[in-house]
Amino acid sequence: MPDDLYDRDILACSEHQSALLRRVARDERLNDVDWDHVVEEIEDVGLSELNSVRSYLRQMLVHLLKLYGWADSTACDHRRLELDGFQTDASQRFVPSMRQRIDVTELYRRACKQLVARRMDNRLPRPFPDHCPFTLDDLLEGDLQELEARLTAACA
Amino acid sequence: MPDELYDHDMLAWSEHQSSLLRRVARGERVNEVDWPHVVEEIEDVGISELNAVRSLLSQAIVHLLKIRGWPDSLARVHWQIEIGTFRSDARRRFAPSMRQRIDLPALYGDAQAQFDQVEIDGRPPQPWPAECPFSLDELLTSDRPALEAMLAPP
Repeated sequence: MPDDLYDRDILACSEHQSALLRRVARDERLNDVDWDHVVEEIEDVGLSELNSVRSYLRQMLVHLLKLYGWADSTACDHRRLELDGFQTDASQRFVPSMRQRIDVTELYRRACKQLVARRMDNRLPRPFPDHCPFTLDDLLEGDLQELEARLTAACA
Repeated sequence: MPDELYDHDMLAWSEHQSSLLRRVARGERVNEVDWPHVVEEIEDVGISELNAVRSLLSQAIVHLLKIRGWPDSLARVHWQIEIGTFRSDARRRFAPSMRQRIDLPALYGDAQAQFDQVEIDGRPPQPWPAECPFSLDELLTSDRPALEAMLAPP
């Protein structure tokens, strides 16, 4: 049964299903395609891309907040390098239909929550701005120094 | 055109295609399914799992070789813990049909090659067997000390 195979042997399942789909594509009528899992996997292709872009953006926010919250840390240069890497990854994998599915305010809230009680170099961070000072486009394309400065400005 | 969408907007493509496939599944005749890419993606599900298992096994071998190569290193415990993680991930993701697609001697050969000219703590490695001394099942399920012993000199 294909359904069972999906859990027992994903490789055999994927080979079997793709062979069946090739026949469906040639317009054969087949009964044993495991449509539920085929549909789920095709949905997953998009969702996993969306999740990875969300995760890069969240990492960007975490790094921006660390740079702001512990501004004199010796790790700042390292964080800037990582921030740059996350921005590159996020913008490379971003596609237009993700726009309405990415809630930057929510990502910002989660990033703040992750850091607010954190001690680094034995210190709590400076208080973070209540409202996210960045738009999605800022994060994807903004100049990183300018983004760092914006957190400071938002608290002034 | 779905074909173009696949390259330009994977999320939109995947949402569009999965809704079309739902209709196909209900027995409707649908013309715009992007079959070549759908088939490719379904194949990819299995291949990416296979590659993940290969990579975990190869990491496990690399770390076993480190322990054998530098038995006195301070990193030994750290390597042992990592081997545990790699092997349990590999066991969890291993599927029976992968057996004939995993060439363990080749993975072992590649792992050895990674140590070409490598020194750790300023020392070259102690020698290890030129041929892979364990089977796939042993690498997946034997306990770690047994695997370490298989790499030790006779």
